[in-house]
Amino acid sequence: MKNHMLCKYIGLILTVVLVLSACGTASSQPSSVSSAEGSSQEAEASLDYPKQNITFIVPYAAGGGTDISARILQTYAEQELGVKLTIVNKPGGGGELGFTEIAKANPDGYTIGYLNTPSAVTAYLDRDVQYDFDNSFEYICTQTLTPRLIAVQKDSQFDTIESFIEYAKAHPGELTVANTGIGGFAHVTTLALEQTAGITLTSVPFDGGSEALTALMGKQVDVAPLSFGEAKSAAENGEIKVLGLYTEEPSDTFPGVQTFREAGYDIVMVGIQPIVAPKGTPKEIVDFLSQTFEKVFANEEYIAKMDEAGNIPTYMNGADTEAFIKDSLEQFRPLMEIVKEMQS
Amino acid sequence: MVNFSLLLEGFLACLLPVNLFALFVGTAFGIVIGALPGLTSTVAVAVLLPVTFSMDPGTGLILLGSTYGGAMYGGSISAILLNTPGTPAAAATCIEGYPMAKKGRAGEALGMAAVASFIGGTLSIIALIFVAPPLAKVALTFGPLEYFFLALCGMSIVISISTNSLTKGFISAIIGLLLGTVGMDPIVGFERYTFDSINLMMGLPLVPTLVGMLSTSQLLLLAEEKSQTILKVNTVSGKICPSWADLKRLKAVLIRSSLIGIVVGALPGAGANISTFLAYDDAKRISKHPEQFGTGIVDGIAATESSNNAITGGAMATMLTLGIPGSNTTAIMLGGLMIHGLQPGPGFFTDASGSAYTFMAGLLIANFIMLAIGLLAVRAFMHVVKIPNNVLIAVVMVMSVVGSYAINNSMFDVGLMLVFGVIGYLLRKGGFNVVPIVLGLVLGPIAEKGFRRAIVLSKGNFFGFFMSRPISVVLAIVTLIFIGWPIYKWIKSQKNRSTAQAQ
Amino acid sequence: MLWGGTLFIIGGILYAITFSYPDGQVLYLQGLTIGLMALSLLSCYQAWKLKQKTTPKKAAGEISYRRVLLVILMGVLYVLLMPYLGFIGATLAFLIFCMWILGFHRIVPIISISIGCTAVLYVGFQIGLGVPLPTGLLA
Repeated sequence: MKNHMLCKYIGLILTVVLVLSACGTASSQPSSVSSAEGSSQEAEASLDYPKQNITFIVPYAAGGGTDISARILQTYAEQELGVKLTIVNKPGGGGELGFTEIAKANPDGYTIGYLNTPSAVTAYLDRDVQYDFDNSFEYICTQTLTPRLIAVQKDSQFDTIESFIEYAKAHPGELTVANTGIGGFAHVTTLALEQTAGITLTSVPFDGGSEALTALMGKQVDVAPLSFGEAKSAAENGEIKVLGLYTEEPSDTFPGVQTFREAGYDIVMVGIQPIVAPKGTPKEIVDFLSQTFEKVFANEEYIAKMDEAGNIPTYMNGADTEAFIKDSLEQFRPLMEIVKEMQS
Repeated sequence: MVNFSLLLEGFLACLLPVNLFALFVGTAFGIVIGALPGLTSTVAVAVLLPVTFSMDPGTGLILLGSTYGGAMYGGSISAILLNTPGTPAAAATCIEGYPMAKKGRAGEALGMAAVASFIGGTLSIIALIFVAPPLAKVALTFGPLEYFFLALCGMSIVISISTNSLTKGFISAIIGLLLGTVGMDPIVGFERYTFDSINLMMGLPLVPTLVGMLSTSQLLLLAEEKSQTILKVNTVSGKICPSWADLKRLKAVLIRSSLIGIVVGALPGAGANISTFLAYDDAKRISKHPEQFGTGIVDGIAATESSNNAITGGAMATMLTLGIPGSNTTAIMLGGLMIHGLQPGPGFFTDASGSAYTFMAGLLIANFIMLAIGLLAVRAFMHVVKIPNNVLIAVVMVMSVVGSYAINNSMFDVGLMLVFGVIGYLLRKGGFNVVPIVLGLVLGPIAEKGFRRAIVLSKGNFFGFFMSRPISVVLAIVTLIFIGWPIYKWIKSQKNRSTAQAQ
Repeated sequence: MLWGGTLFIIGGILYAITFSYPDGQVLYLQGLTIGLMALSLLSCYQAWKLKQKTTPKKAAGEISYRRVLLVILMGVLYVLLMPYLGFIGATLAFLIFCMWILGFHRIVPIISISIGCTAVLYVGFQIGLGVPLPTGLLA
């Protein structure tokens, strides 16, 4: 009786295995290049790269904003590269785990990943991390910008940055702001605002952009600093009102909204999602990837998908990326000092 | 108001071969992933996301949605057969399901799980179609203080399931709460009990801890016995599908649990654990034979399974109407939506392309498919309890390891799973129930954050703040009832016992 | 009783740790740890009273702690060796040894289940889901 059942069980497993192996071998070969442009073929011919699948480390959990832009990238980059881009999610420590993984990976060109700012920068400033910006990474390019903005309730009394700041100055501590994560982007943004405008807000910490957004929509707080992606659909649906942008220039995504610079407060809060490789990766490979990604980023379908997801697709080459990151380091240094004081 | 002509078109669109295929594959895939300990509905949906890029928006959404529902049912399979929830949402199903499996009634348990999941899922999709906007609006009014009371309500269940020793139940709950504190303090950000490990900075990862605490410890318990299989009885009941009589009797339970699931599911951040345990407790309270709960009766399964599938509709209501994800899984679906160019919000429902209605019609059909697959597959699954323990332990251990690894690609997580497996085993040997630990681990952070944020928001005037929020007051009263009722009954039973002894 | 004592000590340690954390934020932690200590004392007391009422029974000879330890040991070895043997090697080894040591001595099913299980998991995860499994030093 038991023998009979076990035999059935084994038979079932073997059949399943055979079927799956058949599918498996079919899909595990790197797909052959049919659409590669002429120039990348030339580069490939002399470069002999890529020969196998590339691992792409995303230092955040699956389904988050960063992860989604990785998956969009994957779809279009695979066509150009001719090999698979395997996404590996390594969340932890606000991104620190993933950044460290990339820094320590084998610099053979088959492991790359994101080095999001300002998380990478604030982690470095806040505590002892196992990477730095001179010795750990080769900078390939930047995929997207992540600028911040500030939003208020949909029927809030504030229509302009000026009215908001005036009120806040007159009533210190009365307005509640939904911050996320100590040392996180939203938090330092609020700190910068408080410092520059000379106001005091009551900070209510939440666990992430969408929690902050929910709190704002539900009228639990007065103000919330958000990313463009988080605010986009809520603003379009009229659920929240975007008050001001922390960018250098006004944006098409939010027409008619002032930037803080225009209002007289020089605060620019823009993060980037750069793609990096571990230090020591051969320059030819870094350049090849940079050029390939540049092509991918120009693909209209890719741009459309990135737009839908609330991203601001762009392209910055490796040198500019490195410069931007080092600028961020200086920008956030004083703010992180304040954060560290709060934590002790 | 719902647009019936678009809805009809949606149904017809679902009958297209490509959509039917997506429904079938999504549901089946969801069930399989859900059944594997360690893999959650979030993983299932995340994996399918890139696959949907090249699809029609409607088809892509149907694929993701049916996977979500399938996974919610799939979790109950391993919960019943192995006392291991396949997804965290199925944790409450273990309580009734496993004892039934031991008694040879696994088929009945699985059958009821399938039917209850179907009912919960269908009711919640109907709610989604007809009342999504008002439901979402209500969800928005829940602020930190409300979440605190909700979590407290959930925790109060510890009292009613600690039938052997209240002290030990509380200890388990406290252990769970302490485990929940690991990570960064929510307000100030300093690290608590992380012993300088980056891996623990964001708290104990839920899945490996849960898998270790519930599943691995169970495997160790099995390893103790020289007896050969999970099945302790000689005959296996062949009955699978719950009878009409059963269903009629449980009508109230099914509907109430589904409602709980729909409402709690709509609340962003509150999730499966709160709703399933609340539903279970509710079923126990309205039952005519509450003392039977815990020994293995279908009533408990009806409550937990209908509740966890009902969450899907509620969570999607919030997601589609407001663009706010109600759970991790819906967060990914939201990403998928946006990539396909569909904007959540009131515009979603009036979108002329009808993708919205194809999606919702598809979800309804997916529930039927899930019921069919579930009932058919039960015939095969129920024999798992006859597999010799030695084989089972080895195989499930491997699956748990892979499941724990897969989410974060981290061997640390796997190590954590083993550690909690041993801890869970030792605790169970000591007579401690592991369920309150799970409750504490999940609900503790929600309660703490809610409370502390409420303190900040109330700006010193806590009582005034509290009274100005009617939902909080209601929830506070409900919590008091939940806590007070079992204590009252216990005191009464002690008095009866002492009067009986005195006579 | 043993349990009560252990938990009390653990509670105490955790409580002590809270002193190194910033002031004013530790109320919750302290409340929990003190609660743990108090309840574990209560539990000790209850267990002691219970022992006084009933004579202790020896556990039935059915329970084999040796098997439990073996499973734990195998699990730890499995996890430790995976980075070296890779997923496939470590899993095969674990399955075969574990089933054998636990008393399942039928060779054909052991081999086929081990291979089948490893293959299904490997194909399902690495290829189907694209989740990279550890490859070990031999790859």
